[in-house]
Amino acid sequence: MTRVVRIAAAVGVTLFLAGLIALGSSFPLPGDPPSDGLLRLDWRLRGEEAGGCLRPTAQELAELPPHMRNPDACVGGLPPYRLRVWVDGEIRLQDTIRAGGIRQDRPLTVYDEVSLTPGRRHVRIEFAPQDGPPTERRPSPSDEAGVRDRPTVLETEGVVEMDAGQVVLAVRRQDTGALVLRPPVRGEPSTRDRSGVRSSGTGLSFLHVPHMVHPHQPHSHQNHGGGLVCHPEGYGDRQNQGSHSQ
Amino acid sequence: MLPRRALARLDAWFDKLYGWKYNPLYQSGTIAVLMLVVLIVTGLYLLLYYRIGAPYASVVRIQDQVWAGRWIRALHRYASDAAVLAIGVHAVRMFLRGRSWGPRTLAWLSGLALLGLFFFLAVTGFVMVWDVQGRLLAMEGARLLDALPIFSEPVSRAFSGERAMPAAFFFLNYFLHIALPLGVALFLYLHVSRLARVKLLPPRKLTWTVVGVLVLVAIVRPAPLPPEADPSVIAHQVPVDWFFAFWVPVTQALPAGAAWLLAGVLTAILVTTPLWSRPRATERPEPSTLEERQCTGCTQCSVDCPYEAITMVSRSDGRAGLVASVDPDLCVSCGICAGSCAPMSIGPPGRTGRDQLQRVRRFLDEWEPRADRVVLIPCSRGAGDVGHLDEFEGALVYPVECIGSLHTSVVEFLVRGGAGGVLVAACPERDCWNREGTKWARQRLFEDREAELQERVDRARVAFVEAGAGERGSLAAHVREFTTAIRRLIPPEPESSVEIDLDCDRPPASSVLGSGEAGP
Repeated sequence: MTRVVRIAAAVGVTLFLAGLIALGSSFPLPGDPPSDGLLRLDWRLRGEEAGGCLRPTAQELAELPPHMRNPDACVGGLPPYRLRVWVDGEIRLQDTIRAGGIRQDRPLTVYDEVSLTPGRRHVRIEFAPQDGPPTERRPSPSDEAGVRDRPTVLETEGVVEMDAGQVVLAVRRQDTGALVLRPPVRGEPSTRDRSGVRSSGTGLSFLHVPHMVHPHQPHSHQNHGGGLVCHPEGYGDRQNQGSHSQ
Repeated sequence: MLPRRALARLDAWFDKLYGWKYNPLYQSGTIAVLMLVVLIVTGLYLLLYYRIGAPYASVVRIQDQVWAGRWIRALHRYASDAAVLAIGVHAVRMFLRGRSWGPRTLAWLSGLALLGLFFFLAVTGFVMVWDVQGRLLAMEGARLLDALPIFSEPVSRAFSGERAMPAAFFFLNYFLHIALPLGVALFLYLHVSRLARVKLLPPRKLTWTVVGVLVLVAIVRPAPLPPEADPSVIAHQVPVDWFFAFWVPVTQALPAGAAWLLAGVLTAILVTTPLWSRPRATERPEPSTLEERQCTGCTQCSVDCPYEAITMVSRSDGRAGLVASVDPDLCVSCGICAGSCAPMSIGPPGRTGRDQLQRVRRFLDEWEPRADRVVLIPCSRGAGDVGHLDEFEGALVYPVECIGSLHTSVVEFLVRGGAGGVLVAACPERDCWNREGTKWARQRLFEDREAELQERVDRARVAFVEAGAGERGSLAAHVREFTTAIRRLIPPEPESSVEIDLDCDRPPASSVLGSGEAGP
């Protein structure tokens, strides 16, 4: 190998390695474009508490060490909830959601995804205690904090028109806690508005999206941007009121 | 072993192209450190313009408005890619060359920790941009985390699009991206803590070449900025950095539990490498030992030891002064101390200077070298991989474990015993199976480093070449050339008995090795 050839080869190998780094630094993941849209379920619910509170007698309390004398020691966690999602009348997701924490006394959390065929789709979501609403309810710490009147059953129903690759969210409204369908928030921390929602402009079209509202509040018509239009219907309200135990 | 042979060939090829001094394969470890330096410098510049409250917008600004921002960002990206490439090459080399067990366990484990930390650091860097790639990595990481029973709520909820990404998330990410390099520095310290005379950076020419090439690539092809993260669409064909995101397609195709299982198995394999890659107990080389009575306390072995395994301590035999002491937990049995010890008092069992003299005597008895014949002393682990041969290109082969462990008295013995010449074939300096063996051997033969080759040995009959395991052709040319040169010299008179000095500051012990036992 002559000196010229050697230098040329060294330069060539160097450039090859550099090209490898440049190319490997940004190369698309393989995969076809998505053929479906996506319904993303994402909410958190305190839920109804089951069980009861032990009310020890004065004598029982006296037998306990001072630091363990709790006159209202409540036991029990949150009952499991049933999540069901229908798309065009066909049930697409059915799951039992258990409360978080070892004692299952943490809030119920839903995070799931359901694929939606592009086009107009009728979506219905129901999230309710598996064994029906409890008949008796005791105050929880969150009640004392003033959040007493939240819904115990979440439902929503509506027609969504979407293209392949688009995402629609089923989330709770921050103000009423009602379940709604809306596009995701797209934006950086500094670009959000006061309500924490920014228009995405994704072109998603929401038609006839009834949502859960507080029974004591009038229906709230809202527009989250991106062409979201809410048309309240009786279904959500009827179910909502029927399932509440105040 | 096929991978080891393939590595030797690759080494040889790169040696031809770049020369051993600038061979990027040999310098993979130092190149990785150099890339870390580049990352810190470019990263500091980028941090001046990064905004936690508007991550993507600030990166767009860096790309479009900040002076040289586009190139600096590209250099930052490419340096991280080059670093992971260099670390990968370095790790594979260390494993294939059997440097992943025993006293090197700390270096291996800290290297793994460095790699893991570096990966995590890079992921935080990608998430900082909050483009589609950053979101993809964050979401895939969150999906995997959600499979662990750690969090009471799915971490993935943070990325659902239910609300704008909180600034706290980007602050945490920013903090980690700045704080983790401190961890990298700590593990780097651990990584090299058992080495003497650590070289953290490549030779200057290679340093500037590597940086220059990356700058060139950054200018010619600035790192593209993918679209902003958008939770309202299903991302597909996301442009990713494959040096860091290669695992994403694998984990995406697996349930989270299976992905964790796979990651756990791979991690277990890597972490336990020092256990399963070590030779059987009977085949493990033993650490060096010392014959205190013969040690003069000259400190040369302590100076030469590349692993700082030898310290000088007070003598226990009642004599004044210091004596060498070997820490067996640090000694890798390279034998370099054996080559450094003029009185031949230290070295791995069976490989001390005295043992070497006994062996060379047997060699001379068996082969009777002639004045027109060369004796080739190759490193048995490199040097053309000829250590297992009896003859090579007409030269008698006398292999040693490491050229650094070769005592110069062996060379003297061969020349005075009748060999026409002695060709010492070492591994390329940066490719010494151990460390510094080649450097010390050359200096002992030609630059009077202790234990130096005695003046009475005709230097025309001694030559020194460097050849990697895959450079047999090059070594053959050197042997032929040296043999031709030797045949032009006047044949020496072989000595019937060769006397070798075994003490460096005492009168010679008059050990006659040509006809009797080695040692006084």
